[in-house]
Amino acid sequence: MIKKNYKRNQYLKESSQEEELNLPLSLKLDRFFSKSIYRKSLDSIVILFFILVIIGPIINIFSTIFLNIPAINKDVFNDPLLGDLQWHNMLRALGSSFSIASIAVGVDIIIAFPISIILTRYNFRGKKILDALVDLPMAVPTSALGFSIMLFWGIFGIYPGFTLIVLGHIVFTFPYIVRNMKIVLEKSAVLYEDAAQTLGAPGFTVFRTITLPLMKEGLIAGAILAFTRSLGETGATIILSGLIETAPILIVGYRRQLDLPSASLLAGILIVISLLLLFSIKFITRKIGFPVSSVWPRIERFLSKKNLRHIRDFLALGILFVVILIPAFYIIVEIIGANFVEEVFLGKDYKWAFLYTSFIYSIEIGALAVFINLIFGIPFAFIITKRKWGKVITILDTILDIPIAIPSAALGFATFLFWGPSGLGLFQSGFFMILFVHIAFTFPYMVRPIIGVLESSNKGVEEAARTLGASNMTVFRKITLPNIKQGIIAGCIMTFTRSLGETGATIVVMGGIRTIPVLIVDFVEANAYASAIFASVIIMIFSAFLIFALRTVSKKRG
Amino acid sequence: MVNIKLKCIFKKFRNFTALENISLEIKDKEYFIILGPTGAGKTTLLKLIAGLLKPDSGKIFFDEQDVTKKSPGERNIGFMFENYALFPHMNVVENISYSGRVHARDSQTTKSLVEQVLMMTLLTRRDDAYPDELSGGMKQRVALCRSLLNLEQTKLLILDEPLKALDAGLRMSLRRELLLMAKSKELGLTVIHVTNDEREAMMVADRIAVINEGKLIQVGSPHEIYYHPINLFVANFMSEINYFDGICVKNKKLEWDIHSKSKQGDKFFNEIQEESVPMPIDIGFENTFAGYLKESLYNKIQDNDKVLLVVRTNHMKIRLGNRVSEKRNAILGTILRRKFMGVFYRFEILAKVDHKDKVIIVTRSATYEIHNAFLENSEVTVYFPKELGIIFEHPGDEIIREVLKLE
Repeated sequence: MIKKNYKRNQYLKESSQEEELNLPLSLKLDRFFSKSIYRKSLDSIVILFFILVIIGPIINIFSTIFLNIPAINKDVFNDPLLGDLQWHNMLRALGSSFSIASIAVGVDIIIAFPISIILTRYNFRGKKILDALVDLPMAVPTSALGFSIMLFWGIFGIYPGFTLIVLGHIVFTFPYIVRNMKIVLEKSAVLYEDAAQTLGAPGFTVFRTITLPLMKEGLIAGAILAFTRSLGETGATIILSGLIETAPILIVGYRRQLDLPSASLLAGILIVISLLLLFSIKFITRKIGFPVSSVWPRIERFLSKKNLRHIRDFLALGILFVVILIPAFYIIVEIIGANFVEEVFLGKDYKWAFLYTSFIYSIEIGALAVFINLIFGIPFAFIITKRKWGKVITILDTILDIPIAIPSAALGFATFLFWGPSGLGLFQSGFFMILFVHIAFTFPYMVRPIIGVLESSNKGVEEAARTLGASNMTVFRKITLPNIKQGIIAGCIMTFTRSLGETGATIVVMGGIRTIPVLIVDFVEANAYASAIFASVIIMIFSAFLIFALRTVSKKRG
Repeated sequence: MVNIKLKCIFKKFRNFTALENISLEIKDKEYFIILGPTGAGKTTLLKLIAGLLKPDSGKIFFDEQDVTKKSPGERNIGFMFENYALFPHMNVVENISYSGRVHARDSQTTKSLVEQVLMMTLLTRRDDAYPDELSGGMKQRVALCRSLLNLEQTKLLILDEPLKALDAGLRMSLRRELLLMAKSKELGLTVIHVTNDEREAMMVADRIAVINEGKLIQVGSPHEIYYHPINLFVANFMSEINYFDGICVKNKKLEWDIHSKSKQGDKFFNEIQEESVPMPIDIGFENTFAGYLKESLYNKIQDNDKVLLVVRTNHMKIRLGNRVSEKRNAILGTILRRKFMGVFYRFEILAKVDHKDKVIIVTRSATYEIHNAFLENSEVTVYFPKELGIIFEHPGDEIIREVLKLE
């Protein structure tokens, strides 16, 4: 019996060895790389990358502040000529940044409520187009948007200044809030709303006591994201600001004057505030409650009337168009009257050449950022979803969102300090530095969608493949990768559009190189409006195409 | 008092017709089951009755009063949702008193009512718990209390597959508890209950409405639905069946008396005989077979028309050996396969019907005689009492294949 078994085992062994020899090369390589040592080294490389590119600069900026306390003290607080004027400037800039962000987000939320309800609850012709239009400002470079907004409101006599900045920030933060609200509304609220209705609650009461509390989390997450985006925005703000200085603009200004201590102080303050906001999301969500126990039947019944609902919807749509959509894309009208051919192509300063090279730079940087983030992003998403490292994963997961939360100008400046002459001294301002910054702040945009599909994907399929004898690497190549393709494509497009649209981070580290959004700012500052219009429209069309691609991809997933 | 009447209800979602010409009447204090497969339009029908959806055309009456245009809030009915839909951000008391608050009823009255139902359902000690801290049974009680507190004159409770997502053991015990309350005399409720589980339907219903693909197919008592299904779909939905293609031979001179009263004087068979009439049919044997059908259908079917004979697998009887000559409605075959199913045995019997091989399914309760004697490959005779043969107009092979989900 034993002998027989032995023979059988021997036979199995031989046959499996034979099988090993007959494997095609690709599968042999898969088996080779499935060994745990390679997995471990890959994990370490990816985490090292994450620390170097994203955490390193942020930690470095604080050490810089501490090392430069005397210089900061001298420049900011006790300048021999100006005293603490610098500090007052910073406070004023921070103040206006905060009030702009608060007002913009406040207005956004008010408009976003009815709009997200219209987009999720109603069925009407053109809903998909409206949905796409609402998303579009997220993909278009903010400097192009800002310029369009400036031209639009200029017609009505609103010129660069505080009001115009707020109007601009409302436009590009709006999609973030609507998106988050829509997710909650689509997901869970319908059943509870139905239940409340059968219990006799009129529409307004249902909304106030059921829908609103249920969408609390999405609402707060969206609001904080929009708030930090507004806080850190540079491109549109430069165009719209006039004499007002916001915090990112001040950083850009300090950087241009090479006043590094002041810049690092302000960047540090901004980063701390943003991190506090990011980490307090959960706390705030728990603290904020909506009064659900008391009901004012008469008022609420009145507010639930059909007529009032129609008025509300029309008002919201009206505001959406007048305040957000028309200003954002007004520039397309303006191009008809603009004499761009003469200015761009026939001028003696060869603007078309600038335009061409910066377009190429923008695309190169975007593509390289996508490529590098792809290489490190996929394994990183795997680490977050598959490895069982307990607390470490929680921490990595939270840190991953930091680049989204902190102002890109501050992140850009931190990267400059870390890699540049005053830090590791590996790079000068220029192409590679821009690339590094773009990799840093787009990394979460690449990883998040991949994590999303990984978490929702069918684990059974992978396990099935493994029981059929596939090695880990083969499973990854043949099963997992095709399954998460949609998430990867979505991540790539998000990364590319964000990289394409970034101004603040680029300005801080660009040296002699110009990307398209920066070039638009330059054109506007040089009063070359026709060229700016031309560049903006081109980039808008390009972005519209990208967002169309993104929507097609994510629709396929559902 | 509540009488619910639906008149010619139509409902479309874009190009998809969810409900087509539904007319129904639900009587006071009736336990009314709406039965149908997934996607038949059951939930849509409930939502129309509750007012969560509006019909494209047709009218809904509560006690002769047209409520078609009224909002769900004005109808004051109790609606229990799938998975109960307890508001996750409110505790037990807040959930239960919700309708009192939104209707601005006297807060003192509401309070005492809430206390009353909490006492009744033994929930008093968990009144500040949140839904996700409650067990399945408690959730159900809270949901029921919440719906009950919304009732005013219209004592209508609507149950939308409340037990759907539960596992089998819990479902049984919760079903019992739910029925006890819903059917209790003190509450005097009219209940409309949607389900796709035919056993659940048979267990509790006063009347059952079977719907499929948005159409109302049959309404009747559980007895009617089971013994006099109106078509193949209803017959097959209630339990497994055998079917035989046949030809009506009304005018043939028969070798046996198909009108004969059951020998045992069985009350049960006599009831069926009163409700319908026998019809002789030829399914391809020397002997003429017979089954029962409603008189109206009998008059409609002409001699030589194609018909379908349906016999439930549990109505088939089985004897060892060839006894075709001594039994009526009998077919000779051999046991191809037998499967022990716990409560019963399931036999697959190969027989020649109309010169073609046909597998007849027979289920018999698992007694030791069956276990010992009816082995695979033994020759058997299967037969059925004529009262349990159900006859339809022949719907066509296409439809048979579709309804029975044959390849």
